[in-house]
Amino acid sequence: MRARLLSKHEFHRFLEKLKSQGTLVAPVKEDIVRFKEITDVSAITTEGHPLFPLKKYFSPQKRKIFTYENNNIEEVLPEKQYIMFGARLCDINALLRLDKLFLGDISDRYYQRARANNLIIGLHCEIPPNEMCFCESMGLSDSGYDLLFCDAGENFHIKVGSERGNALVQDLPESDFQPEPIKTEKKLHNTEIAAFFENDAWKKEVEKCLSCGACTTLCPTCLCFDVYDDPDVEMNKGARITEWDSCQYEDFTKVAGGHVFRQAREQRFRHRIFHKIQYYKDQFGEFMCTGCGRCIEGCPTKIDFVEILNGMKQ
Amino acid sequence: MVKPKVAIHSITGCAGCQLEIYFVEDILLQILDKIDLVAAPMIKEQNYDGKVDICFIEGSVTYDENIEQIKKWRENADIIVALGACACDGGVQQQKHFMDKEVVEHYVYGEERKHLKAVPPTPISDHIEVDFYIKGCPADKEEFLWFLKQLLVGKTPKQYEKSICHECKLRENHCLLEQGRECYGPITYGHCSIMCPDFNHACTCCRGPMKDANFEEHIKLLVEKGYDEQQIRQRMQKYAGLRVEKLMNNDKNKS
Repeated sequence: MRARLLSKHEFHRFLEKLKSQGTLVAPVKEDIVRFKEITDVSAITTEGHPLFPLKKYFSPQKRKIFTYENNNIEEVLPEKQYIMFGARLCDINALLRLDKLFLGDISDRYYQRARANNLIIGLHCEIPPNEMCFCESMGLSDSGYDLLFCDAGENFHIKVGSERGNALVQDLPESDFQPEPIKTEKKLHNTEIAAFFENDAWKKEVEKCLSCGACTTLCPTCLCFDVYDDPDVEMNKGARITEWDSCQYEDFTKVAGGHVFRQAREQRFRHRIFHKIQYYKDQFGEFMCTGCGRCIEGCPTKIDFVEILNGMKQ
Repeated sequence: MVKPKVAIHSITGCAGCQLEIYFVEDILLQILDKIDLVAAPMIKEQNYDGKVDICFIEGSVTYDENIEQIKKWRENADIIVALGACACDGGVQQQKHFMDKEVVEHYVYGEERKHLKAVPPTPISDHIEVDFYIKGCPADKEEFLWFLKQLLVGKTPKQYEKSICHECKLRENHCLLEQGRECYGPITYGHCSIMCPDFNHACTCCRGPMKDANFEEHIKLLVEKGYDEQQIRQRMQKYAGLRVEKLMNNDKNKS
């Protein structure tokens, strides 16, 4: 499908059109940039990237899996159809990574429904939106979106990725534009890390970790959650809830009897990095990490796993 | 189903935790329908003094009679729950441990009251076995409800072990530490509805230090941000200094 051209003068009108077709989600600049449901399209920003990723629309922070009353169970599925504008290629690739986990042999029905319903309109990075970005090293694929907006001064060139996307732009003039691959100053040089499992640098560099869980919450591919029941005070009804969890917490690997498998902070940190760079790749042939840099940007003590790995010697 | 017998007792404290849990007004009657509240001196005239299933104790131990009293409650109850910062960690009054006794006595009682002695307060767990802790100054009514409901459906409630940061991040708050604020979220137990950071108020550790807290690095970070080290250490002592000290000593022995 051919790319299209949209004048920036028409940008807000185009967003209004999107908004009339579903619940529009896009980056909004507040104290920080966040993905939010849009009521006024003029609030949307194309500068910077939202610190908190898109995954909340597919696997929310806290969500009811089902509600129960006496012996009846009712499954809870996503209610809204989102049209998401402003996802960067790292965010879009992150959804492709999550697909392999949520839509594997056993599908997560909520996630599946949300993925089928939601429309993804990407925003290409002419310049990386943050100095912590290192996606150039992570082998991102140019796919996974319905449309991809590329800023070209007075116009947007719009790459079309799906029939649903095409339907939104088929009235616009055609374009031959091809975006340049994203270049990032920051790079992960050491991507073969199996030999780094035992390395003194882990303890030394991770000493300042506060175990706050910012890295996993902000990671667009971290998907771990806890499951618990929330009974109503009448006891005959309630809901089963999933809530995001983090491998950086001490209680994450706690089992019956009280044993904790990854007691030391550096073990927890190392596990996160090995999952992102090694274990997922062993299983699916690509990195889980998409190089968005949020785990570094949002870390209160600025622990930089890219620098840690780059500094390790084979 | 036989309704569990519940007692809600208080020793030395401001009684704010009890008050907080009675604020579950919307469902208070429903709760009273599920339990047999046999003793609750704040809201009941007639209070039973015998065996109960669950006994909540609020306040810290500040004189010998307190110890006798809580030992008796312990004997009479299957489950003892420490309610609020005073019962769990000693509360604000335990700061006396870190001050000059003479100065404190003089400040509170004046020249003429030399016979009144300041006794450094202790958490109830220093004297009796405690089965569960509902932390905070005051305790959070939602956590109280969560605890009670788990028990009523027949589960053993799990002690919440995540820090303030967990829920703060789930709510997409802009990290106060990142904004240069003196926030103690990472070293403090969560499950408090995150009211302070939600309203742009930095966490003051009222729910006590995490077993897994990284104190030294947290102090270093705040010093880097321009805060005074002595002030930081004092703030960490505000509600649970005794436990902070114990945990910091453990860290030292480990390394």
